[in-house]
Amino acid sequence: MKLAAQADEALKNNLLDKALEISEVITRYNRSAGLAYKGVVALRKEEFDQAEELLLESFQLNAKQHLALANLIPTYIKKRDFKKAVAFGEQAYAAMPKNQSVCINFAAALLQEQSYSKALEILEPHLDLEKPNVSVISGLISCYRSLFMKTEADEMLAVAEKHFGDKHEIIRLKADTLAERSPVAALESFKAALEKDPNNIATRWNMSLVQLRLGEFEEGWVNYDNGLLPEVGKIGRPLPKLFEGAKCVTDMNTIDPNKWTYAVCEQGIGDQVLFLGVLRQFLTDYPKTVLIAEKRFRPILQRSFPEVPVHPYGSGPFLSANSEVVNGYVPIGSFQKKYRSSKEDFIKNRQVYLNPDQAKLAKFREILLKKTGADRIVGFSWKGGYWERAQKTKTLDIELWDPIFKDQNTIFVSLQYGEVSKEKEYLASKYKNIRWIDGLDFKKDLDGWFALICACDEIISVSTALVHFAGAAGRSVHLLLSDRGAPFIWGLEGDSSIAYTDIKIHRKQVSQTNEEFFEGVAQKALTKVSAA
Amino acid sequence: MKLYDLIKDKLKDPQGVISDNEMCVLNRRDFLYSETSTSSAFLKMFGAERVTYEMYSIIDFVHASVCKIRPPNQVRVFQLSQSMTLPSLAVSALVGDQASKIQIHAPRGIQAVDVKDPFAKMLVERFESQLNSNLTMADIGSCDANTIDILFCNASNEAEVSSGLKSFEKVKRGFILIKGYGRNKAPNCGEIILSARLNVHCTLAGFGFSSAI
Repeated sequence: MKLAAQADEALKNNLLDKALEISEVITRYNRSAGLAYKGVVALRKEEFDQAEELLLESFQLNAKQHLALANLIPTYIKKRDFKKAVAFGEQAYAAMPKNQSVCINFAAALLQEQSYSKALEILEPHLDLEKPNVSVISGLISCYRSLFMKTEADEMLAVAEKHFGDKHEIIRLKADTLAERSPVAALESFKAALEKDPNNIATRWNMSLVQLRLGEFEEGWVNYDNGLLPEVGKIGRPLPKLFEGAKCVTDMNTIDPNKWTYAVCEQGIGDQVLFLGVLRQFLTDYPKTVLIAEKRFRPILQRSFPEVPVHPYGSGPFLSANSEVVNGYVPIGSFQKKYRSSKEDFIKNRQVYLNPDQAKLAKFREILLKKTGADRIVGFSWKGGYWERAQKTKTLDIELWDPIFKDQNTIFVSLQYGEVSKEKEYLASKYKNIRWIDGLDFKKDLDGWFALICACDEIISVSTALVHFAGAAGRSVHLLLSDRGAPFIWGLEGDSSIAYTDIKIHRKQVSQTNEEFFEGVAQKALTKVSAA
Repeated sequence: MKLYDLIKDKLKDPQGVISDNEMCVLNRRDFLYSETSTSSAFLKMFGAERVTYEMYSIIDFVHASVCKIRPPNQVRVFQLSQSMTLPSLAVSALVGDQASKIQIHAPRGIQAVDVKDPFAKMLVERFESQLNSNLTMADIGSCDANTIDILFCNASNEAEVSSGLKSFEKVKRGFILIKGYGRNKAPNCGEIILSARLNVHCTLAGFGFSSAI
């Protein structure tokens, strides 16, 4: 006990060598405890692999070794393995529910795994408004923001600014909070945060999304490359592990056109389509390119870019083994800074660049029009987004779409992927002019889904991959944006897309009711359909 | 037809199935047919994705065996059967420039390879240049410690397997891989194996191998 107290005191004063010395002695009497102290020292020294090894062994020797258990959470957070951090966090929280440090670390891991409600539940009891802890308060702001609890987020931010207003972490949180409702003010805050910590990767990454939303493409795309770095983790631009060991190229000027370059598709499938808008320009400059993409995307890419070999992600090891003939790999998001550094670059290069399977397209049109006797087909989709927050931002519940479906001269085809049984039941009970294509798995059979999209005369959809595919194929799209924010590529104002040839943007205003918004969309979108 | 298709109605929800027209394994994880599989990517590049599961497994075994090769190590491949062209090509493509040198000897020649794209063509051209190596069967085993000898043969030819195993006796560092070794009526060359104090491990996928490590 006396030795443990000495070790605790040494750690408290950050005397790591002394703590290590004492832990060596402790190990002789109690191996598990000694290893736990050694693990904490390794963690403080940022030797994360060693910390993991020591703490795991300590915990395996004694499952009640709380010091090891508690420190495994920050160890895995540092190693960017948030699943394990959460797993040990759950155990540690069950054993030490009142330990503030355990709660803060567990909540940090939960935030990374998008479990905002659980993180909130854990952090709230630790809030002391008189003497707030900066980690508790910043965790709470992140939770409130992600759960769209605007008032609570603003109140907490005011407390944070009062007590810790000059801290980088708080200035960045303020910027994050403002990012969607006031991007200009958010950008100012990001810049202020970077004055405190100029090399903060996560801040630069978050700032890039605001810069891109504001149309500051030149600097925005440069900062966007911070999303490739491990500090940002999986909410950034994580790439397949299969490419580890090969050279990641983000500066296009360093590419030798006489060598092969792998262009690796990254991010969600919609982002991939957006990024591929520059592929033809890239191929002109670097014809020796291999495109790496998902198997389901391959038929579309091969048809649209017949000159480019399209290989699966499993090709990664060929890169690291053949550095003499291969430049390395370029994540396709990084193309943008060379070819899309201004709004004008987007507009002057708008073109159709994805081609559907014409035979499938014709078959869909024949089936849909012949069977129904309708004149027009309108495809629709009401929910999108991968992350919970993105889903809440993008989705416009199907119950709001009544003004659209009232048009009885049109056949509406659901292009929505994922689980739709409830909505299907709801719509079937109200409308006879809505069709669902059974037997076509929209997520797996991307080529079939794309042909169906292109078989439609018009698309009405929230921001989802569908819009990018339809846009890249030159189809007429009515994009519906909620008042809760939208992906950067749709900008902040204007009623047409800078990236695609025929996308009309309908932005819901805060002052509008949902009914007013949908009535307006129906009038603009469907009147045009009838008149066409 | 996959064997699994013949029996799937009689099975109660198997958790993982690996099957082609000659084998079916249940409740196993598959690492080879997935789109993150390097074997699968390699075979697709050469229009060979319809080969048996055994060939997928051979390519994967080759990759697992050569993935740690770095200079000053050099690799020599002795391809005794034409049907082992894909494994030889896999050595060439997956070792790439990670070895000081790659030489390939194919006394019976190689099979034509279906080149699907210009990147694959580049890999084949380099493979073909490595074939012009002046290497002979007599060179097996006569080398320094940095040389890795890899022998590929096919059990469909007994003489080939005997000759391969005899040659492998001299190998100081490397492995022999025999396609079809587990096939019914394939030669097992027991006497040679025993007299050389070798063990040829026969994989469930069907190929056999023995390593000098």
